[in-house]
This record gives sequence, structure tokens and C-alpha cells, in this order.
Amino acid sequence: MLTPAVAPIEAKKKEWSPYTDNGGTTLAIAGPDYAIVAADTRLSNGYSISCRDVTKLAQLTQHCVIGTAGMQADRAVFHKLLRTRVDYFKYKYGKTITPTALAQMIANILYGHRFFPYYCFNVVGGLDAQGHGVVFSYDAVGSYQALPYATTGSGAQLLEPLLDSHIAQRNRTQKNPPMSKDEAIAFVKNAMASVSERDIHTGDFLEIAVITREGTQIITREADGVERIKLGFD
Amino acid sequence: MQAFATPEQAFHEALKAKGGVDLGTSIMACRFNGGVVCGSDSRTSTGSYVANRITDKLTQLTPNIYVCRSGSSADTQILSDYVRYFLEMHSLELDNRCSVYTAAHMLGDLAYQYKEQMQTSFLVAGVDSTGPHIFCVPLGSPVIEEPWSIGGSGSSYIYGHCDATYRENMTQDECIQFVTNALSLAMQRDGSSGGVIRLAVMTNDFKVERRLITDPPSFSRASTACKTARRRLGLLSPPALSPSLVFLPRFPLFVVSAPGRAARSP
Amino acid sequence: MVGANGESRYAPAPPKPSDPDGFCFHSPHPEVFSGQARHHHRHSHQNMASLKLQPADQKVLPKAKKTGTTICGLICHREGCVVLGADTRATSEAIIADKNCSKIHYLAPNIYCCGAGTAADTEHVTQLISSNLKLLRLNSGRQSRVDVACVLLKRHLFPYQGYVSAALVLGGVDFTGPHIYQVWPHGSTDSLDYVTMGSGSMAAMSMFESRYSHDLTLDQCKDLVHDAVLAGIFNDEGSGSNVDITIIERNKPAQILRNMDTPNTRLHPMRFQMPLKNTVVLREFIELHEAAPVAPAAVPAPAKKAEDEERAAMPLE
Repeated sequence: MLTPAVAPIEAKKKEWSPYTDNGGTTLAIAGPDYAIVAADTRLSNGYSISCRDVTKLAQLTQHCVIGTAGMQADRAVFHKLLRTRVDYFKYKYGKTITPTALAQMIANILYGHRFFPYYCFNVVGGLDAQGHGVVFSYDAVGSYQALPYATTGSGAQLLEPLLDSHIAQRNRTQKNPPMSKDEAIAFVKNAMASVSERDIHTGDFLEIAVITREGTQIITREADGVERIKLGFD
Repeated sequence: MQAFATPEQAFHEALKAKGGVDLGTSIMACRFNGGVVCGSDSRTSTGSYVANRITDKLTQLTPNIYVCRSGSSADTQILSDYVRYFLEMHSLELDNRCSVYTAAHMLGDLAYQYKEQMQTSFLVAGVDSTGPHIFCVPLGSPVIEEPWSIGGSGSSYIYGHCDATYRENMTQDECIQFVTNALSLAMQRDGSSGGVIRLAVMTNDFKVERRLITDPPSFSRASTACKTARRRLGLLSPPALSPSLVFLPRFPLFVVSAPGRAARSP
Repeated sequence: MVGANGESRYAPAPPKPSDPDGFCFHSPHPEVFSGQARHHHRHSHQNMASLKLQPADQKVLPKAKKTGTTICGLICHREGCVVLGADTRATSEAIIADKNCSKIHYLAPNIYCCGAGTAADTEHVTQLISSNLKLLRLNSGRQSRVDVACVLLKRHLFPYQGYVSAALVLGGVDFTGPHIYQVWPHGSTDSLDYVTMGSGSMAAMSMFESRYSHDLTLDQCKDLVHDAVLAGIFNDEGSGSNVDITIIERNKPAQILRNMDTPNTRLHPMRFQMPLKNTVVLREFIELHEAAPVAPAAVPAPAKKAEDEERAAMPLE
């Protein structure tokens, strides 16, 4: 910078890290006869937006979808690995893995990387043997839990109390009946739009996977089928 | 916790970590037979971002004295502002022009007093009743008079060129050409220098001329090729025929062996 | 750098005998700088150093609200005026703290200033300088000059060595013409035709660098500033929500176009039905106090007329 006569003290360089957080928010809801897994499609890097249209969802079986927030590269590898493991299961045992078994398998894979974990914060949604919705939520090293609803990622702290109030209906004297599938889809759109209003890493578009007995439908467009489901672009 | 030898050192570290605006710079001043020329590039950077691409790093301290600033932008601006103010008071009391010596030492004293806290490096150039003078006030704040001087991050690339090319008693035009060439060379090699060249020419009759060289001479093959391509695309006006860009060296730099040449010639 | 006994040799700096006031220039005319000297005494470098150098576990400073920001300004040479622009997002870390804050601050009727950095710093610095400019106007009976505002700002910021993190775009028109200054937190300034600051400065600057020219009309300048702020809003996550613009013309009141564009309206709104008395009440008790004498109905306070008039009347004072 200046004359080299008196070299300035080297500022301690920031150590390289194998992890980056690309932001994003996931949300899963277990209904009586459906499950919903949703996520935004923004890929952030620091303060900049690397991509506005990257999926965080992966359909693993006919009745099971995973949504992953965290680091995009780890997510891509992790989803690929899960797909091969699901295929392998089918070849080995001659039947499709159930969401509940898959949930345990995901936990095992994550814990297998205990000391160099995938930077992935997963939610898994599916239908159990009785056709009821189930949702599992994970940390990065494989602790997991079955829940009626779950959220991970950069907007999770914002979303959690909203879900407590409107799905678990905590601290209420009068409880509403559980949401129907269509009510839940409308609620998910509203909730994710709310998150994108206040979380800078969440936005652009919304993808909603709806799992019913008939199979899984990933909704990326509005009801008229023309436009993407928009969230905030700023 | 990180251990530091002195709090100043730690403070310096903290300052660096905080990230100020730096003049990663090429500055130069040179005497000629009737005055002095000083020049600089025009880039101010914060990290890898060019915060100002037309900076004026030549600050007029008195009508006959300029200072070329390099180092932290905030520090050099405040120091030269104060010195300009003090010199104005001084010349009122003196009822005469300040000497370049006074200006340089005033700057040097201030810079020395705050050397732990500030990152400054200056070239003071001007003309007074004793003729043209150049003083270099680098980082530790010694004050050294020199016939020519270069400073800033870009200077390390051009010491050899300047040593080889400088001659005493140059004319004004030769001196301007010398400064322009040297700064262009520095700006093309140093990533934190660039933009245009700003010059201030002060002559023994106390006249000052400011010049702006927006299309500095190009030396490297890459930039020549780039300019040719841009000219073909109509993005650049054709340059005036380049004057002799490089002076004859004071001493031969490369000895071409005569016999070999003789042997190849028909 | 470790001492002979293996411990850090760091200790808070004792003031040097030659430098009793910490950071203070020893002027040959001390009376001129007495104000400065007092100022520096309170905020010396050494104070700042010891503040910064506390061990990590002792540094419990509260998180300040930052305005991850796009602010910009340019000079319209054709019509001799200045256009300032800003987004309206304030963040604290990744959370949006305010969706519609105002970042273009009033300094004088003919001078405004956009602020980026720590919200508290930009607000207080501009308020302080605004007050100083008003005193100068009352003393001198003349319109404030933009370069004076610039010097006041840099002389305030420099002693804090960047710890008052206010990155400013200062713009105004005085009798010498239109001016735009860029003021950095460390106290350096640049005078330029077009300037951007904040986390969205690169996005905004890309618009200026590709489209700015000296021939632009005021409308074109306004569009350019608007587009530059939009570039920040959509491409920088630290910036968002709406566009604010302020136009300062010579001998005219400044046009404050607050929320002149609102491109980010709420999507997928939904009304939640919350029946009354839906919250579980755990405990209820009533405390009785003696009734206080009823105060006479408050007369509505008169509007802040003087200041408004001054802003409207503009500069011929």
C-alpha cells in the first residue's frame, strides 16, 4: 500500500471455512390426511442474491419430500445421496422405503458425518402407514423428532411463533378444527410471504409440495397455472 | 485474545480490520531546470472497490507549494488541511511566501507526532525564493530533500526506470514527459493505482499550471492490443502520434554484442 | 508478540507527556482551536483504543440497528440542481427492523444528506450538523454552504476513527452551485458528480457508470437515481422496500418525494379470524387507587410552524 520501508503489520486473515450459509426457509406441516413441505427459492451469498430460482425440495419417494436449508452445495450432494440410498433400498428389499424408515435413515446418514457434517437443516414430510401426515425436523448432525409442523433455515425464528399460534393454537380458549389441505396451502403462502417481508435471505418464489394418498404434487404456480408463486424480490 | 506488543500496534490492527479508505497510489515529483513537476494517479480504493476514480491527490498548500498524498485518505486529508491553514497564518506573519522547507517540516512534524495513529506518506514539492525543492515525508516521517522522488504502492515498480531515466537539468517538457511516463508505468503494473494522471507544474516565476492526462501513454503489449481493439470498435479516438515515450538511458542498459550483429549482417 | 514471561505486554496506553490531550493538534494559535481541543480531549484516540482492546469476553456491546443501504446522489449540471435517493430498509443482522425508514436527512433548507451505516450514528450526526449549520446561519445571516457542511461532518467523524459509522452522501445547492460529497466514516471526503454509498452502492454505481452524463435533464436525472436505488433494492439484500428521492434546486424549496415508488407491496395477504377473549387468562386482580383530579382537556399543540416555514421558504434568508 505505502512505501515498503516499514511494512504494515499483516492483518490477521479470516480463516477459510468449508461452510457458507446460503439462507432460505423451509416449512413442513402434517395434516390429518396430507403433508405439506414448502421452501422459498432464493440462494443468497452474504448480501447478494446468487440465484432467484433454486429448489430446496427433493421428492424422495411417492409419499415423501425433503426440504433443506443451509448450504446449497451440501444440499445438492445430500439430496443426490438420499436418492441413491432410496433406490438402493428398493433394489435390496424389493419395496419402497416408508417415510418413517427414511426419516431414520436420514438421521443415520447425518450422524455418520458427525465430525464433518453436511451443512443442511432438513425437514421431511410424508404419509405414514395409516395415511396420516408426518413431519420430521433435523439438526445438522442427525438429531431428529416427529412433529406436527416444523421449520428450518434463516426465517425459522420468525416462522416458529406463527406456527405455534395458528397450527398448534397455543394459549387459546377456543380451538379451530385442523386446517384442510387447501386452507393449509393458503396459510403456507401467507406465512412464507410474511417471512420474506422480514428476513432478508428469504424471497423470490415459493414451492409447495403437497403429499396425499394419491401421491405428491409440487406446486410452483398460482392456481390459474400462469404465474409463479411470488414472494418479495427485494 | 490476540496479544499485541503495544496498544498502538493493536489499535493499528483494529483500524486495518475496520477498513478505511486508502490511497493505494502512485505519486511522483521531479525538479527541472526552471521549476518542479508533481503528479499522481487518480484512484482511491476500499479493498477491491474503486471508491473514487478521479481523485485529486495533489493538494495545494500555498500558492507555490503542492503536496502529493498517499496512505489513508482521511489521515492525509486532515493533515494537509491543517498544514494549509498553519502555512496561511505563517505567511501572513512572514508577509512573504513560505519556503518549501517550512511546509515539509511542518507536515513532517505533525505526521511524526501522530505516526502511531496515522498512515501517511507525502511528497512536498514547490518553488520558493531559493528555487525548486522536493521533500519526501514517508511513513516514519523523516523529511528528506531529493531531486526527484516517488511514493505510494505503485512506486516500487518504477524505481529502476526512474534511476535509469532521470537526468539533471531537464527542460519543463522533458520533465513532464518523464513524470507522465513513470506514472503510466506504475499505474499499469500496480493494481491499486490507475485512472488518469494529474499534474501540477510550478515554475520559478511562481506560476502554477494544472494538467490532466486522460489517455496516459501505454507501454504494455496487453494494453496496446486492448486499445487497438477498442479503436477498431470505434470506442476510442485514435491517439496523436506518440512522442518519444522513453528517454535514452543515462547509461546503456543492455549491451548488444557487436560481433554477433556483424556476423549476421550481409 | 508476547512478553518475556509469556504474557501479553499489552496495557492501556498512558497519555504521553508530549500529548496530554490525546489527539490534539498543537496549533500556533491555540485560541482558534480551543473548541477542537476540548472536543478531542473527550474522544481521544487512546480512549478509542482502550475501548476496542478490551478482552473479547468483556465486549458486551448491544447490537446496533444498521441500515444496510443503497443511497446515492448526483448533480444535474444542465439545470444546476442535485438529486438524492435512498431505499427505506433498516436491518439488524438478517432481520428487517424497519420496512419504511427515512434515510434522507435534513441539514439545511438547501442541503440534505443520505446516511448509511449504523442508524443511530447517521441520525445523530446529521442532527448535530444540522444544528451547527442553523447556528452558523443565525450568526452570519447567510445561506449555509455545502462545503461547510462537509467540513463540519468530516471534522466530527475523524476523531472517532471510523467508530462513528456514518457513511454519507451529502448534497445541496448554494450560491457557488450544486455539490455532491461522499463522506466516509473515517472522515475522508470526495467531491464528485455522482456518488453511491452503502451495501447496495455497487449495484447503484453500475447504473450511474453506464448512464450518467452532464447533459441529462432533471427528469432524466430523477429517473436515473430512481433506477439506481431500484438496482440496490432488488440486487442487494441489505436494501429493500421503497424509493425516497429529494431534489434540491437553486432558490426553490427542496422537493421531498418520500416513497415516490413502492415496488414491494405485500403478497398473499390473509385475514386471520381471532375471536375475542381467545387468550387464556391465568390470574386476575384489581387494585383500587384514589381517583386523581381530572385534568382540563389538553389544547392541541400548534404545528411546528416555524421550522416548516423555513424549509418551505428556502434559501434567501
